[in-house]
Amino acid sequence: MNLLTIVIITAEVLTLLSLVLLAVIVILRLLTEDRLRHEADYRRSAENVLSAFLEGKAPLQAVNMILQKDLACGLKLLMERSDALPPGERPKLDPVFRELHYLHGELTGLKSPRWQRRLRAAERLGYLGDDDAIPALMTALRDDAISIRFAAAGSLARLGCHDAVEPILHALDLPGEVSQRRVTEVISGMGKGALDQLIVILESSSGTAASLSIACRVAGILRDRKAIPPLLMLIHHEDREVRLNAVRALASIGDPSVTKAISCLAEDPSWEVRSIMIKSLGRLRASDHTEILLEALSDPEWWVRQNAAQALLELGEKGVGELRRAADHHVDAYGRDISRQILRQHGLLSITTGEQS
Amino acid sequence: MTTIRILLWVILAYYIALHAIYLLLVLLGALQIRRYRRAITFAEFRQIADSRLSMPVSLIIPSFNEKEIIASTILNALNLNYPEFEVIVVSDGSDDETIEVLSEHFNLRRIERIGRRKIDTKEVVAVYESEDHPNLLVVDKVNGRRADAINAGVALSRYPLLCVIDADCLLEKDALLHMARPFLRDSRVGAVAGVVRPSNGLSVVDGEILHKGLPRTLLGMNQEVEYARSFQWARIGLARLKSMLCISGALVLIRKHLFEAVGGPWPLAITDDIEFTMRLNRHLHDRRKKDQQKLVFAPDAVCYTEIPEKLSQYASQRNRWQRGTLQALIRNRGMLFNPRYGMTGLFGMPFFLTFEGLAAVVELSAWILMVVSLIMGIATTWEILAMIWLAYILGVFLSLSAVLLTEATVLRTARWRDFWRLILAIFLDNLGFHQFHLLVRVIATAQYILGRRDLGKAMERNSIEPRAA
Repeated sequence: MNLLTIVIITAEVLTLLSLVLLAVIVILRLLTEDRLRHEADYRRSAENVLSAFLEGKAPLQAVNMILQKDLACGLKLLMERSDALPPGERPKLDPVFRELHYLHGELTGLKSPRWQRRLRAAERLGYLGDDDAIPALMTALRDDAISIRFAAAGSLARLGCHDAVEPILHALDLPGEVSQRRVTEVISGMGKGALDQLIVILESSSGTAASLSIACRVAGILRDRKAIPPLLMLIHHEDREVRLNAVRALASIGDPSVTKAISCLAEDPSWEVRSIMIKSLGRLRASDHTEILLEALSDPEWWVRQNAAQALLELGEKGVGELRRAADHHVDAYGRDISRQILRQHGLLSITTGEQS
Repeated sequence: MTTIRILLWVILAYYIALHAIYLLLVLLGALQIRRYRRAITFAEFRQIADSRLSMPVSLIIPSFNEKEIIASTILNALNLNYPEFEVIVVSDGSDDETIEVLSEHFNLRRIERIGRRKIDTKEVVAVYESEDHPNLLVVDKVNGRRADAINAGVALSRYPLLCVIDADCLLEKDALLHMARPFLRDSRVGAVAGVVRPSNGLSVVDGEILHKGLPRTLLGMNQEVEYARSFQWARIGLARLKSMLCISGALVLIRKHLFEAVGGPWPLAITDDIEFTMRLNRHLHDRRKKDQQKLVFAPDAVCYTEIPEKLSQYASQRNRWQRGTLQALIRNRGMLFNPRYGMTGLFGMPFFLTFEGLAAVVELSAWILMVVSLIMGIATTWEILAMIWLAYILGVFLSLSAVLLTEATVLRTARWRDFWRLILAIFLDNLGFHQFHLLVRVIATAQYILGRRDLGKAMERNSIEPRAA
């Protein structure tokens, strides 16, 4: 066979394939449009009945009847509605989930060899509002796939399973800032109910640095004074991250009585810890500690100097006065410089002339 | 005579290889998308959006004489769905009253902000903040090209993630959420690129995208197909093969420390985004480095950019791209066939050189050879026509494959009329436009060899803001 024949045959085959492809695209388009139309119609009718049910104007049977027409679509709709409701009102949907028997399917899904199926099941079980899912979710915390462990942790938090705090910390004891942020978010989603378990973990100080850091972060988010004593212990922890997060949490709780205790970190070897401590003094309006803030204006690290100047500003008139004096008379040139910068940034010093306004 | 005949067949083989590789990349892209979608959980993006702990982003918009469109771009950026971000607009020595326009729209006041400058830039004249939008910062600096403006913006940024977009770009509301997701899932992710599509045809009010249509002209439709084929599907495949050597400057999210480690975009580059991406790949895929980070693609993070709909502007843009590609390839030639860079050095760079950098020259040679062989009687008219037919249908098949995959995504065209216009554009692409593009690239290659390094004529903008829904 000569090459011309090969070229012509190839071109003919490709032309035919292109036409077939075009036909497939058109058919796919028609099917997609049909599916979208069906979904839109289904949603419209189901949403109306669901809203009426939540307002107590429609019986459970009416919701079931309509949702059963497309269980997959119905589950998605219920999950969306659950997210839109305030946490306290979510249990209103529990009977709907129960009547449609989603639990059994999702528990089976959690044992699937396909990780994507397990992932979906781990997430969905949290929405079903059924405590029978808790043992399976606890087991899923030991899954090989980290994303499944995260989904299971999220579901346990959604179900309000406070006993899961320690297992979650244990299962997701991962290095890296981002992972820690995600775990913090999951546990803080449990609300103040998680606090007792957290305090036990903080007091024991025996966890890994990562788990202690996460516990500190959650305590900071929950902002409960009960967490102050163990947090004060942890500001002297050997790990920098733990100290950092403990100080941050104390500042977040906002009790001014801790200012003296945290000010002892002014000589901490880590500039990040010094920086956060200085920032916290500003946040806690620690006007008795202006000396420490003025000294920090000459810290070797720019961020510490910047935070010290900002913290002085936050102290109000007294702090601004000190900052103005520092802009002209601070013993350190860096201290004078950062004071001027911050005053200018806040319109308290003219940019062009440098005169105080 | 035999030599010319052999060359003809070699060029045909090149053509087939080019399209076959692209088709494989498109298919690989489709598989990647399937995998990507199946790994997304129901509440994932909502959780990122609601999170107080999501990584904050500094969105940097370099701009030079863009007073017509910049306000709309900023409004679009300020309305993004993301928990914490700042928008830094850098006017790179604009002399068209950009700052005045921004002052009027956003109530700016001058402030003093001194950042940590790790990369040298031209002098910053003034920094402004908006009294209405606390997360908007405007920087006025001495002109130093787009790359210099980006570097100046980075110096003043506060957050650990940087997103750079062009002044004519509009982002989908959830684009940052989609781009931030890979960073939350994998600590080794260093940079994320998104999908870039033409904005011509969008209906936008106050920076908000209300309706997605397609460009009005055939040239615009042609680029629509090209963007879907090359910049969307093939790029996902290339990302999988660690060979995504061109992230469009229109949309990238990158860790600040990585950006600074690579040295930021090069101010003298003709196309700083291509050159920066190659250098980024060089940094990321160097096997000697222990801290290896990843460059990934977020297929549902979408950004719309204005494409030229006049031939003269199209020619100017593609001329610059071609010269920029050659410059970037030459500057990073150390990666070519270099096993130290793994797949990037052994596949990505050779692919980019052969099928992007030199494609125009090879194709022009094909046309010349065909004419010569026809005149000399080496090949018959039938043989030449058969070759042209094959080349044409290869392009059509590839574009149709891209449309097929796009139909299964949210980026599908909503109206049947637009769909048929798209199909028409596919069939017309190889009947003139492609050849015009080829000519532009050949001229650009010659100009590059002769030493042309300027940025060419700036594109005329169509004001976006007043367009009705």
